[in-house]
Amino acid sequence: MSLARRLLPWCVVAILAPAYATGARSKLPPWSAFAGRRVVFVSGAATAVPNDDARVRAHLRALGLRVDRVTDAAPSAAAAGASLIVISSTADSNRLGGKYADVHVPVFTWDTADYPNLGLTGPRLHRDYDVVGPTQHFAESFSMLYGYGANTTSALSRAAGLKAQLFGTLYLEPATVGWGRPGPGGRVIVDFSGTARKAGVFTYERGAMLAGGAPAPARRVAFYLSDANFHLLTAVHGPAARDPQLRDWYLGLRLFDASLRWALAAPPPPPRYDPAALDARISAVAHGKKILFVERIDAGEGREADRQIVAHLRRLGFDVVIADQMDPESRAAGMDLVMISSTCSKYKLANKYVDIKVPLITLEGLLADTLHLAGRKRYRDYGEHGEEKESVDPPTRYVDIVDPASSMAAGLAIGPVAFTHSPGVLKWARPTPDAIVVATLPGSPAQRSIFGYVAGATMADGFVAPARRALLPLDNPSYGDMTAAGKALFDAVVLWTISGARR
Amino acid sequence: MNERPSVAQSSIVPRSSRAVRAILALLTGAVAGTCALPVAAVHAAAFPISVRHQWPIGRPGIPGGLIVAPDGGHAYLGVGRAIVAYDAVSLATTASIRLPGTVEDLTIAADGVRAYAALRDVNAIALLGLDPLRLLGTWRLRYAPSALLLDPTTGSLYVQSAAAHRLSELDATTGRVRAHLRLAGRLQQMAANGYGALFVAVADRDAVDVVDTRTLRLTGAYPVRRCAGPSGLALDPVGRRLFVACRSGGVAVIDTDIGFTFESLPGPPGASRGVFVRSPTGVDGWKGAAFFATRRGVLHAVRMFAFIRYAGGGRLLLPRGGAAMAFDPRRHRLWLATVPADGSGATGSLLILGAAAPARAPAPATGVRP
Repeated sequence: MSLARRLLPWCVVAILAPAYATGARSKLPPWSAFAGRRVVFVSGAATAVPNDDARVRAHLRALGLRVDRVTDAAPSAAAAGASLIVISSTADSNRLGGKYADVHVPVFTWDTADYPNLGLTGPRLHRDYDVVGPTQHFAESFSMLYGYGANTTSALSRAAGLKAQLFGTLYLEPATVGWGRPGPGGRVIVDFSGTARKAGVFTYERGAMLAGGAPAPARRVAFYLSDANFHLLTAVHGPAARDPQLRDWYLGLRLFDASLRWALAAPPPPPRYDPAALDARISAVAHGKKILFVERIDAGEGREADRQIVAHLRRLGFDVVIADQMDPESRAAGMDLVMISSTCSKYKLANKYVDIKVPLITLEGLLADTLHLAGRKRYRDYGEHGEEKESVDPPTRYVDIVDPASSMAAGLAIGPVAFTHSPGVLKWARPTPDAIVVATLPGSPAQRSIFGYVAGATMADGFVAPARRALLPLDNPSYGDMTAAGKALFDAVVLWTISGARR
Repeated sequence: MNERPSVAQSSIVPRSSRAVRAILALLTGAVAGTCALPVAAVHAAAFPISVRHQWPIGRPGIPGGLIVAPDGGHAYLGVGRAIVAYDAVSLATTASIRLPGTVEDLTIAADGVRAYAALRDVNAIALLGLDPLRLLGTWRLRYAPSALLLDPTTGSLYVQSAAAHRLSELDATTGRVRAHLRLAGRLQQMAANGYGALFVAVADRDAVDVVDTRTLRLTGAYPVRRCAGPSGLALDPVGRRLFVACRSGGVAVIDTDIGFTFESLPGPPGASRGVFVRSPTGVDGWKGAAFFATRRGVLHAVRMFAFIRYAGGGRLLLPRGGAAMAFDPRRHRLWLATVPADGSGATGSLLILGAAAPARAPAPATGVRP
C-alpha cells in the first residue's frame, strides 16, 4: 500500500474528526466579527406605549451593528440583505402575520404573540405560548424573575455562561414576560417554573423542525422580554462582579447578547446524506478504538441482531469486546465506547455503566431512567412504540428527523425517515433540554427516539453526563431489518458518540 | 454679625435673573403666575417642600459646605474663610470664626461635637469644635482638598482632592494619614454607605467608583447607564440605592449591591449636589426623597415609593445656583446655600425649605454666642 493510501484515513480523520468531536462545543464568533452588520428592527408604529425599543436599538448600535428601523406594516422585503431581523413586542402580531416566517434571515424576537406566526410555537394561547404580566398574573409574574439554565452545553449557553441553576432574569420588579413551548426541533435554553414547556429562551437551528413541521429557514431565537423591560435585564458591576456566584445570577443582559450573537453567527453547513462517505469517516475513526458491546449472551430473541451489530462494528474497524449483562462494570475500563444491546435486561443490568467516563450508547430505551437519559416515570418519561403489552402506540418503522444539522442525523432531511423495513418496536424517551435531539417518533414530537448528551450536559435528576451518552431506538431483532437510512443513523450516532472519547 | 432671615422676597433676585427665570419657568411648563415668584415651583403641586425662609448670607464668597448638627440645634455654613453658626430654631447667627484658608467643604462627626473643614488654598483640614464653635487645629496635606466625608464605622475622615485625583483616609482624631488612593477622572461628590463602601462620582468616565473603606482600595466601578457626566450623589444606605444626578440631565437609580442602574428618571442638566432624606416632610408625607441642587439654580427631587419604585418628584427654581445642602431630620427641613450673584461684594443666600406653606419669619434672635 502506498504511503498516500495509508495516510488517507488519517487525513480524513484530521479534517472531519474535530467537527464530530466538538459538535455542540463550537464557540461563537466574537462581536468584532459582526461589526457593521445590518439589523432590521421591527417595531410597532405607536409610540404611546412605554417601551424600550430605543434603548435596544442603542444597545445594538453599541455592539457595532447597523440598525434600520421598520414598522410592523413594512413588507418583509425590507429585511432583504439584512443579517438579522429583530422583532420587538411592540410590533402588532396581527399586522406581522406570517410575513417573516419564511424569510431566510435569522430572526430574534420577543414578540410572544407572534411566535405562532413564525412557527416557533403552536397557536394556542396559555398552552403553546403565553404572556405573563403583573396585572393579570401578579404572583406568577414574580416567579418569572427566576429563570433556569435548562441547556448549558450549546454554544449559546456557554457564551452566556449559563449553568443548570436558577438565575435572575429581570431586575426585581415583576414585569411582563413571555414564554413558549417550542416545536420538535426547538432547543430550550432557559425555562420557567421548572418545566421546559415554559421556555423563556429557545432557539431553532437552520433547518430544524418548527412547531408546524416545517424547517426553520434560518436561525430563530425567542426571548422572554416584553415592551419595556429590556433595561431591567440583569447585570452586575463593581465589587459584586468579582463574585462568580453573583455573575452567574445576574446574567440577563449577557444571555440577551449571547442569543443575538448566536443568531448572527453562520450555522454550520448542513451535513450531506452520503452513506459511503459516512462509512469512510467512521472507518477512519475506528482504527485502534475499542468498543465494549454489552449483551445478554446467548439471548434468544435478538441474538442474531447482536451478532450482526458486532460484525458491522468490526467491519468498520473497531476492536469489539463482548461482555455479558452480568459482567462487572470494570469491563469498560480502557474502552472508547460502551454499547448496550437491547437484549440486556434492565433489571439485571442494575446501575452499571451509569457513572463511567466512557461514551455510551444504549439500544435499550427502557434504560433511560437508569442511565439518567430521562425521568423515572415509565410511559411518560420513556417508553416504546409497538410493544404489545406495554404500549398503546402501534408498531412503527419511521422516525422523524427534527434537527438535520446535527451530525447524528447523517445528513438526512427533516421529516419522516424509514428506519426499518417493517413496523416494529421503537424506543423513545424525553431527555432534558440539554440533549441534542435528532429524531422523534412520528406523531409524537415529545417522544425522542434519537438523541445524545455531550459530556458535562445536565441529564435527568441533575446528573451530569460524565461522557457522551446517546439513545438509539433499536429493538432486539431489528438490526437486520434496518434500512440504509436507518444504518446511516446508526453509524452517525456511533461516530458522534465515540468522537467525544477523552483519549 | 447677625443676618436677618426673612420670608422669601423678590428683592434678593436681580431683575435680569427674574426675567430669565420667568422664561425658564414658562419653557418648562410652569403654570401661569409662578414666574412672578423668585423661587418658583415648576411642579408646585408635586414638590414636597417649599421655601420657608430665605436671607442673604452677608459674607462674600461661594458657600463651601453646610452641615446640621445631629441634634438639630445648629447649622454651620462655610463661606469664604469663615464658618458661620446658625441657631436652627431662631435662625439667628450664633457664632462665626475665621479660618486660615477658604472653606471648600464641611463634614460633621456623628456626636455633633466636632466638625471638619476642607481648606482649599492652604492644603489643610481644619478640626473644629462646635460647642462652642472654635478652631481646634489644622492638619496639613500635600494637595488641595475638595470634599470631605466622615465614616463613623471606620472612624476615618476621607479627603478627596479633585485636582490631585486622590482620596486619602485620615484618622479623624489625630489627622494621621492612613492611606492614599489615586482615582482617575474628574472626581465629583462622594457618599458612603457606612458598611464598607465609599462611592465617588466620576464625571468624565460616566461611572461611580467604588472604594472599600476598610482597605482604601478601588474595588470596581458602576457604569451609570443612560446618563452622562455623573456629578451629584444621594445615598439611601438602608434601601442600598444610590441616586446619581448627571450633567446631561437625569438621575440614575443604582442598586449598590450589584451596581445596576434599574431606573432612569428625568432631571435638569448641570452639575449638582445631592442628599437622600427619609420622610422629608414627616411620617405622613413622602416615604423618601433624593434632592439635588444644581449649579444652575434648580432643586429637583426623586420620590421614593418603595425600594423598587421611584419617580420624578418635581422641581423648584432657586434664586441662584445651589452650592451646599444639608437636611435637618429633626425638623424635616432642608438647608440650602446658593452661590452669590456676579459682582463684587455680592453674597449668596441661605434657604430653608420645609413642608408647610410659607409662613412669616420668626423674630430673629440677637447676639452672637461666643
